[in-house]
Amino acid sequence: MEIDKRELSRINIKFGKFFDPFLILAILFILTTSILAVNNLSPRTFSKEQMANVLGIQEDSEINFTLIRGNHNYITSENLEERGKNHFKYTTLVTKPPEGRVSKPIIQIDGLYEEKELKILLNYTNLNNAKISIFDESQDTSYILQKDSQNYSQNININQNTNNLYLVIENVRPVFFNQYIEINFFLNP
Amino acid sequence: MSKLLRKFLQNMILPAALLVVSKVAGLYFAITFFNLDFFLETRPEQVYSLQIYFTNQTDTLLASSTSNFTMFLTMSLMTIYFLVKYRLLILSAYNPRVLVKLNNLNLMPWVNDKRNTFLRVFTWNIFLWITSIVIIADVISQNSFSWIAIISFLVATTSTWVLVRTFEIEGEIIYPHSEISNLC
Repeated sequence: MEIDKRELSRINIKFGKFFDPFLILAILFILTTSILAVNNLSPRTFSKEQMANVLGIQEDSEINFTLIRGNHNYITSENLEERGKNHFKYTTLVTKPPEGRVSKPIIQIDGLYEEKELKILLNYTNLNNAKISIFDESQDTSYILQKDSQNYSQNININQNTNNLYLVIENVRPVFFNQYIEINFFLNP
Repeated sequence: MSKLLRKFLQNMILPAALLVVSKVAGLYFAITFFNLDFFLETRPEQVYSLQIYFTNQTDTLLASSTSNFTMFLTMSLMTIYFLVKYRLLILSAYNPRVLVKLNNLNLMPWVNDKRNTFLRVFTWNIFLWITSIVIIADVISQNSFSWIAIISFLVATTSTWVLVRTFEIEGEIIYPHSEISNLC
């Protein structure tokens, strides 16, 4: 053991100086990694734009888009924002969606006196493996926005019979983290 | 291998780990206690691909401020602990009254720890400054309350000043100077 220590000491004296740059690199690595880790752990707001949160108010059109609130086990933190004339953005946080089907009425449309075309576009989601669709209660029809990680935009016809639109999410396996969905609605004049 | 660099590297591991752990703990506490909704987003183009998002600015501010405060509290308490220990060690060698008092309180074994060196306190001080800078950066990007940044900056500055003064005393013990009365 004594001989090994002396041998190590001899090696250290002879070659130790060549390890010093690696020690400096290791010190810089620990410093940089901890700074980056802490900086990255700082949470961010997903959309930095000011949420107008104006619900159901139109500039000069008679049609009303109203967010249907209410308690739901999985579809939470809903928001409907008017982004411009006849343009609405719906966002929601889906909290740990289970395996199977989850649905909730999200938007109520009224004030329609003639048939109009509504374009629905899935703007963003990190729920990549789920089937996401919008269900029109009055027509008893589902419009797929995402399936098999493919996005689809849908043009649907709405009229005075159109009442509630449902958000439908179908998962083949449970998700253990919260997921975010953004859907844009464009009403063609 | 440089002994100084080796010791510096050894001393860095605990503060670096505690910095990250306290930030995570603060975030977990904020999310659990305030019942905040969040989601995770993967961004492969960034250095760390996982990012925590909240859906509104209020939740982000609350979570970020709580985690920053927890991080600051942990790092500042640890730094002050080691700083006090180091200062008592130096003062005990410089001032007999301090030595007697420490002996009476049976604190000598605690103070005389062989790892109680300037290098360790200096390392903790560096990480306290890192904490302060991260919090200030968060305040600038409007992600945290400003009072946390102000307090962290003041604490970091004060601890650095105390460390420098204590090191001067240690230098005075090794290399005596004629103006010794100004140091304490």
